[in-house]
Amino acid sequence: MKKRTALSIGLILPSVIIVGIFVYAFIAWTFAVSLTNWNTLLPNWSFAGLKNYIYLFTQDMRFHMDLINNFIFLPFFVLGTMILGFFLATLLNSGVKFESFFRTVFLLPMAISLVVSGVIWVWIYDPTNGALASLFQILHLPAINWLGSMTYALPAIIIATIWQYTGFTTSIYLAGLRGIPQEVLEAARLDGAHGFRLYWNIIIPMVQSSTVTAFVLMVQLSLQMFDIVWVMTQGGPAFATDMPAVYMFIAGFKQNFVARGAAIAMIIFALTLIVVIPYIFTAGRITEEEA
Amino acid sequence: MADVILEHVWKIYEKKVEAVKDANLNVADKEFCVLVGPSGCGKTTTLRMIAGLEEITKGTIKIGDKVVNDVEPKDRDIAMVFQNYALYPHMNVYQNMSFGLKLRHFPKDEIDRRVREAAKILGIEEFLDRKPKQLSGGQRQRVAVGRAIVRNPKVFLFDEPLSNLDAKLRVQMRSELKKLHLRLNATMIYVTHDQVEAMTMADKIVVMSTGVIQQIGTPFDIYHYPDNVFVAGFIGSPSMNFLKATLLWKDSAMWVKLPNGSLIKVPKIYEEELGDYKDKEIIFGIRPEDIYDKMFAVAATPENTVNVKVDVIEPLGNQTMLHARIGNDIIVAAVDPKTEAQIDQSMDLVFDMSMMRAFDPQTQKAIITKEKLMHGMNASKTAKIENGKNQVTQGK
Amino acid sequence: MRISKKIAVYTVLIIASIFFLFPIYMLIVTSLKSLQEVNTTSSWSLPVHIDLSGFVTAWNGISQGFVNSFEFTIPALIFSVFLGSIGGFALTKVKFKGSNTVFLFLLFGMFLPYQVVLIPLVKFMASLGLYGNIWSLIITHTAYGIPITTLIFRNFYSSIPTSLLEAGQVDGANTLQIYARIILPLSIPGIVVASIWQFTNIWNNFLFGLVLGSMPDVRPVTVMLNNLNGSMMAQWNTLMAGALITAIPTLIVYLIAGKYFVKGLLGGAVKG
Repeated sequence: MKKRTALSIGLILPSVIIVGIFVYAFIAWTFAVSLTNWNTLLPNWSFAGLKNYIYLFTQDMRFHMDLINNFIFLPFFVLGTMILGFFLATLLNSGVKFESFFRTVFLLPMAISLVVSGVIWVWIYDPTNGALASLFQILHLPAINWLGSMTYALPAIIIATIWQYTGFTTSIYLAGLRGIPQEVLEAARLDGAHGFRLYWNIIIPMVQSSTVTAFVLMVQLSLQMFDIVWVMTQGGPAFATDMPAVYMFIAGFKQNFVARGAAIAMIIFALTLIVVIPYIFTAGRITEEEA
Repeated sequence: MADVILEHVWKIYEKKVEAVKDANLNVADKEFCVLVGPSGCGKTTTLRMIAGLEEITKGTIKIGDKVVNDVEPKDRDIAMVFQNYALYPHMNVYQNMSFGLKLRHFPKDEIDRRVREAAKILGIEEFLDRKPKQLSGGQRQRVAVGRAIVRNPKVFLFDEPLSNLDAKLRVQMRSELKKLHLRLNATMIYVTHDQVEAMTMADKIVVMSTGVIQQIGTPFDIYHYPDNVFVAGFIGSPSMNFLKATLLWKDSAMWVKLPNGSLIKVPKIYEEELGDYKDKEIIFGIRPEDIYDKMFAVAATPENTVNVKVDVIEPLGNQTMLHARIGNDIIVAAVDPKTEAQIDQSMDLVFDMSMMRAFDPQTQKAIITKEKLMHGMNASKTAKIENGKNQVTQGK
Repeated sequence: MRISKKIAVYTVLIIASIFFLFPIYMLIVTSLKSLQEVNTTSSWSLPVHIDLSGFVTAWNGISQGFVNSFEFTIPALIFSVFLGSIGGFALTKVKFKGSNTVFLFLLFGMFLPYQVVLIPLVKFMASLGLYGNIWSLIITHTAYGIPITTLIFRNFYSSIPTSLLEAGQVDGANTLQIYARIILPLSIPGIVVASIWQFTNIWNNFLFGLVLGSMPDVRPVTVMLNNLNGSMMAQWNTLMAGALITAIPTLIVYLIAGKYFVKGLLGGAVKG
């Protein structure tokens, strides 16, 4: 029996070591760097305290923009994907024909790279020949430079990301809806619940764990949104679509403000923890009970 | 020699849960021993400790004179049949049965001979190249048994093997396993929560509850001479009736005073052992089949008759169960199906007092010893026969 | 369902399908047009003449990345799936004190914003002398794949009854034999799910390629496509051809094995 335990630990040890380095040690490293004056090409480990954080929060206009953008982006993206996902999952679960075809179509964007999606959406939003421009021309509407506009660039990116991720929330909700025992719905119908009441009192509470999962994942994706923004606008125009993750990359890898980049990364990380930590512990407990 | 001996065996889990407490058990070579008890009583844990799937916290387990506490399951010379069969889904029946032999590097033709022989015994020869998924529950059960047989182990362990089968198949497999035991001549330890399985199959029954072995004995002894209230109540269906009663002396005889105040006379032979409980409370026990409708009773006297009020009548065909009130207590009587009992009516029931049991209310232990009970029961047998004769004569 | 309700449901589903498919439609039709055709009339229309010049140009620009992506995706997929499988086995079937804590320790990596490890990652690879080496990407993708593959296998192995392993134990198999001869043959669906998920994830990744793929001979196709995006302004046929080439491997996998892809997606979403 002792031998079995040793063997078991041996099997999990490589993973623990690798994750220990690539996740935990690296986080510690980033945190350490964020407390230094390393805002130069060459490493500089002199201690700076919270200087980088204070600078970001009090003086750095770009970072302020980033936070504002991120907090505008987040609710639209999270609610957009979740509401649309729940709605589509409900339709798919209503016993329609070709359900698997529709499901495949909705989830298709999840299978392709955000870089690919970004390039496609840039083309759709192209002000001279893009699909939207053509449509506006037919409808005799004024031409808009979607991604070049301070007003429209962020909504344009939100739509592209909703397109990318709605299939994900749809799948999560579909799994949740499939998990509701038919008898419960039948009992509720016999009790006289239908339409709105059936959803509000029975179905939505019963897919609560799907809602929590979708919420946590979508929030976490919003906070680290980088790829599609980088491909579509690189944060422009005039930082109208800039995000903390974009600034982190620019500061840390393009401008050699390594410590500042690290500080931004730590802020993104801290924001993520707020939703992830409670989730991991409750989810961990749930799976533990099942096992 | 493959007797299995447990000496002061304990299983205590991390969180101080005592799953098995000081188990002492001696399963003789070639014996069919059944561990029975309600769920959570520690019977499966005990079996798994014998198998080596569960570590022993304290104590010693010996298989055939060899202490096996630290021996791996594979080296204990045991085979086990699991509750859910645990057949390897990716292997066909032949591969399932031969896996253990292959791992032990048996020669190919020896493996083949053994698998085919076991398959023949179990009547699964035509399924040898099927996957478990393509088999019915009963067939899977046979394969699981077959996998154990081919190994030709010293000890067979069964963990509720019939609980996933439907009622009819269970009865059939029960007798097949029993026959198999006679044929294989091996030690078998069998866990079940079903007392009928325990009664019908066992040479030796071990009744467990809350981690403690309550009694070990033959099916007959366990049924007729239960050591305590738990065993008396657990074995037998419907369960033995228990009533709080007091013992008193009147007219130079001992009487049981029931909760409703009625007195019934204790057979002379039990008086001596019950003497210490004079004017004290006991738990009075009597099985439903030892209570008769007065109309059909052979030896009704005022000394063994109790007036009750009928609560529920359950006709089962071959007998009728009466749930009747004695004061605030309810007793169940298995009476003649021709009974004329009516719900809410009072009627007379006759207690066969030679079959009475008495337990100490504090220790829950039986007061009357097996020897006295044997005598008492024999005496009543003779009395009944004589009484029957009388009745027959009177009838003429 | 009443007919009117039915019509409404299908109408909504078809509109949603158009929303999800029209970018793909744009991708395909544009990639098949000549540059002149892209620049005239409506961009919606089907190509009048099929023209593959966009593909030729795009392939010249990103073919190296296409090959590179395979070179690191396949090994990283194999390593991470293997580690996930043995780890999941240890965590479910050979439990030890603290195995649940170990699981949470690994699971946390799934929700990691990669920004927080980028700077150390690059410095670490440089210090190992692997910067600019394909192994930097193999190791990175293996490392960050472990949490999800472990989770997928843990959930998968939870559904295999433990008595099967005990039967193996009684039959005389040691732990490694149990893994190799009982668990592994039963793991095929889990391996498929984890592999498909890892393939899609690693192939589609951009961020690690961006910071580790400074040299063209390790640069992933996603990074090359983005560079193409910067250098081929307004050459939409070429860009769409490049995007299609980049998307083809994961699209094929998705269309063939979508069922398993969804399982990976939900396995990654934590059972709850």
